Amino acid sequence: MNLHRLQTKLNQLHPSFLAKEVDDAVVLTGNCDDYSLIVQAGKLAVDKKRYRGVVNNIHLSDHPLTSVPAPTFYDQTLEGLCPDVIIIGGGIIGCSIARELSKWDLNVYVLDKSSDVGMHGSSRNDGMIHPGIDLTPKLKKGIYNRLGNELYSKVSSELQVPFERRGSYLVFNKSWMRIGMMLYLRYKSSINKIPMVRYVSQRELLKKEPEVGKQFKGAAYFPSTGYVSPYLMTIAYAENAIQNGVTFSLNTTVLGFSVSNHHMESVQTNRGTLFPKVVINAAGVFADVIAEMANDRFYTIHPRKGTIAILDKKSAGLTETSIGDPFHDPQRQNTKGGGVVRTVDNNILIGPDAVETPLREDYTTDQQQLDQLISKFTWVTPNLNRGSIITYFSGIRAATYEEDFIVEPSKRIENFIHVAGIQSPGITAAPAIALDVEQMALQILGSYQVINKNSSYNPYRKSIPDPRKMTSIEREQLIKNDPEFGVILCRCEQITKGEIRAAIRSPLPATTLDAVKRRVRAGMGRCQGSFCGPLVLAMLAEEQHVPLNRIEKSGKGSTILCAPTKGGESHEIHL
Amino acid sequence: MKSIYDVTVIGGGPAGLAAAKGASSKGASVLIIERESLLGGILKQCIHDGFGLHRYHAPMTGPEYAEKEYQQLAPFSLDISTQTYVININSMNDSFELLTTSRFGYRTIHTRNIILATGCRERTAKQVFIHGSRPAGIFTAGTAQYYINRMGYLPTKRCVILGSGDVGLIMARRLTLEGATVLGVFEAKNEPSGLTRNLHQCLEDFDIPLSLSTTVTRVFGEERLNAVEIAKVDSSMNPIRGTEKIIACDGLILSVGLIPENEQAELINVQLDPSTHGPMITQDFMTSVPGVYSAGNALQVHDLVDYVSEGAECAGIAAAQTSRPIPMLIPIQKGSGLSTLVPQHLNINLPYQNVISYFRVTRTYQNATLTIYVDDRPILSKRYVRVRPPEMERLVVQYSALSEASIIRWTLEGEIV
Repeated sequence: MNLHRLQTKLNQLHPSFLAKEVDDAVVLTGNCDDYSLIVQAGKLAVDKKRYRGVVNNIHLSDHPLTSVPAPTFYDQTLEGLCPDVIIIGGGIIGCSIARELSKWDLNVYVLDKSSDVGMHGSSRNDGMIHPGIDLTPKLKKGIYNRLGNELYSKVSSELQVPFERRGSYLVFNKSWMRIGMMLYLRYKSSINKIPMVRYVSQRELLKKEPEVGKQFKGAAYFPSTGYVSPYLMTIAYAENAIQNGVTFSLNTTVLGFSVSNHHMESVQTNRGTLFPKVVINAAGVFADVIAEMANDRFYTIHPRKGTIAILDKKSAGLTETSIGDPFHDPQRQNTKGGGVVRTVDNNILIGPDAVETPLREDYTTDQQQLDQLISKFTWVTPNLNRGSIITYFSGIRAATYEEDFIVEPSKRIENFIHVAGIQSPGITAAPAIALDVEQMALQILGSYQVINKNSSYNPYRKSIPDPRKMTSIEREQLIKNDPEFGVILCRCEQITKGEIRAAIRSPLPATTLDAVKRRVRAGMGRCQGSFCGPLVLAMLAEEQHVPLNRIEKSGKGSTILCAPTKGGESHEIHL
Repeated sequence: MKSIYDVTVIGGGPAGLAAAKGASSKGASVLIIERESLLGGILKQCIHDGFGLHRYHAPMTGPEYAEKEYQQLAPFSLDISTQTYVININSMNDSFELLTTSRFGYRTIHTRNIILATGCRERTAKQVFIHGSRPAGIFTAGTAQYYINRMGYLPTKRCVILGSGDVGLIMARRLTLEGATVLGVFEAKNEPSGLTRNLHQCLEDFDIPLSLSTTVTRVFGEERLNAVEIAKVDSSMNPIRGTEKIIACDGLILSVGLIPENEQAELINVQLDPSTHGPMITQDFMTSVPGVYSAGNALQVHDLVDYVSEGAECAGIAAAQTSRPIPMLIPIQKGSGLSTLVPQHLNINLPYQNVISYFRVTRTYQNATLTIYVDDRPILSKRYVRVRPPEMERLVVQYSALSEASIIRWTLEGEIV
């Protein structure tokens, strides 16, 4: 809609809302104390034909502006470095781009403000590799999802990350839905060029998924849906990038840029100023803040929170795949609806839901959200038992108002690339996005220099051995080579001391309890680390040669122990 | 290592040690499989005293009690395999195959009988639906106890304890002795969950306030915990709006229940009792799977280690029997007033003259009478001045002249407090 009509509609929402056009983007200003009105205004302003994007600068009253959290320390580790490429953000997008760029003889740096890669959106999702049925090829999401889904078999095997293509079901509870739904889904399969959706009768559904509610009259089956551990995938991409020469600088926050003559000269961080040739913005929920720092913002990230609950492996029988009912959405939210999902690690996962929030990293959970999840998915699988929930968490989707990915070189800064708005299905799309961004970066770099191949590039990553997936002979041999692989330290998930040691010594070493957990699952079981926590902590302290009270749970400042007791620390820690 | 053991005990805590003693004393060949590098189980971190009053008529600390139990094994030649974990159990015709992993390899052990003495685990913050952020500083009481007593580090300086279970009460005192401030113990139920002696010795003696019908609803802090929200709860344990209070602290210690660990039992389809979360057993501690016995906190959560040892020793003696009569089971019905009752069945082809039984009540009663009926005929009646759910009661029952048609029923009646 044109600016005049938009303004009229905005005024109906709130008198202070104002729209104007700046550099092909529509910019909203105003002041309001109702966040939902601010989001509504942003949605109203979307007009992809007229504008590149919506910059929603409407201020939420009494709300601190959300900028990138201030760093807790400063040093000069990176001062004066001149890398070829800087990637801002170590989520799956940043890590996959780094890995693809490592094919070339380039000096690549990945900067992330957190203590590990994949600590935000990339580890806080359902790990589904989506078929992409809800998308269209007009959306970047649609294109990248299709390509990404196809690439997963290859990439996951190169990176030795467990990936299972088990398919998924959408169920419907009215017989009359069958014809319309199947026509629609077949049409969507064909335009999106994805493997053909198949109709499944109630009888067949109950045979394949005996725990599904008896009210469902049939289902659509999507054969291309896959399952992966999204944090392991992110870590694997990062490790392979590191093996091929990429440098990861963690606990590194971007504070500003200097841009002159449409060229980004330098990147200021808490660890020094770097002078890169190309900068890639893969900053997730903070991508628009980073764009703003470069004075090149044409979009808005409006954070959308999703809550997920994880059930004990004893509930694994609830589904072999994933089951969702898109019509049963009492809260009417902007999501594919979530589902009851069997993860690649054989837990049952329910969720996620979707709630708009002004806070970009608000990972709190609420009973109300959890109760809604439980009731929504008890409809799908009636034997879902709330007593089987072992943990729950939330994540934030980095949604733009256009609800599409932004993967493009800056129009204002010749050596800056935006990879923003990557929310669901970002895990699916990452391998395809990374290949495209690799080409964009090469094109920019090509104007400065001849780019040679990295002669020692190796696309294969060696994973940490998993004794549970071995034959008894292999397992016996593994223990013979390293007896620590025989000693179980995390009893719930049966994780050995050897695996934990390997995680601490991996190419991107696990330095915290949560980092160990993401790599080898120690602490992810039903006791949630009550038994293995102290033992993993002791191993981290031993490997890092620091006292036990220096070891952190997750980020800077999350130390677990305060001080030695009156009797002093024990020097003998037995397993 | 033997090619086949008469009895393999899984777990080398107090139950495992006593079970091994029981079986060895009857001449069985015995193997203890222990996950940790040292025997003794949780006793190793229980440095407070009060263990052994019944069994040894002397108070001792957890490690002392464990040592004493270990010494009982001295006359016997038995095998102990530490840092060994049972991955899988297969039932063979009249024996079992245990797949184990240890630093010596991935091994198969054959045994005629198994005693499951795998202990219990603690309920976590998420399992009692605490919300908010996910900072460091939230510990189950047992984990906090491990950090303090076995690693020598204090996990908090200023904390709130949720749950008045015994471990929580003991940790309130332990933390206070170490110089930490315990701001209060909060209990969602309207009565304390711990033993009366612990309420006196751990809270009252140290002026630590106990708030009943109050729970922790939310935690705050990005990296490290900096506050918790508490709220009063109604009779159905739901938080009451408007009663919320924020308490600044750097630690939240949870003592909100113990869950018997029966993952190994489930591997061989041992039938579990939903009220105890442990296996259903007969008077000889045998589970629904012939040759598989259960003892200690894996069977049911005990308050006193002395009862753990007593029961486990019986389990060991039973498991060592070379011939076993065909089971003929009759259920022991749990009537009003009782929340748990062990054993759940009597095997009338075994002696039933002295059946050690344990029960808990559903709520606190005074001037209560426990009556055991056989075919509606009372055979035993016992008066209790006061009985509380946290205190497991033990009773030795003399049954007589039972047949497969007998109906046994236990009930408890009394004044509700």
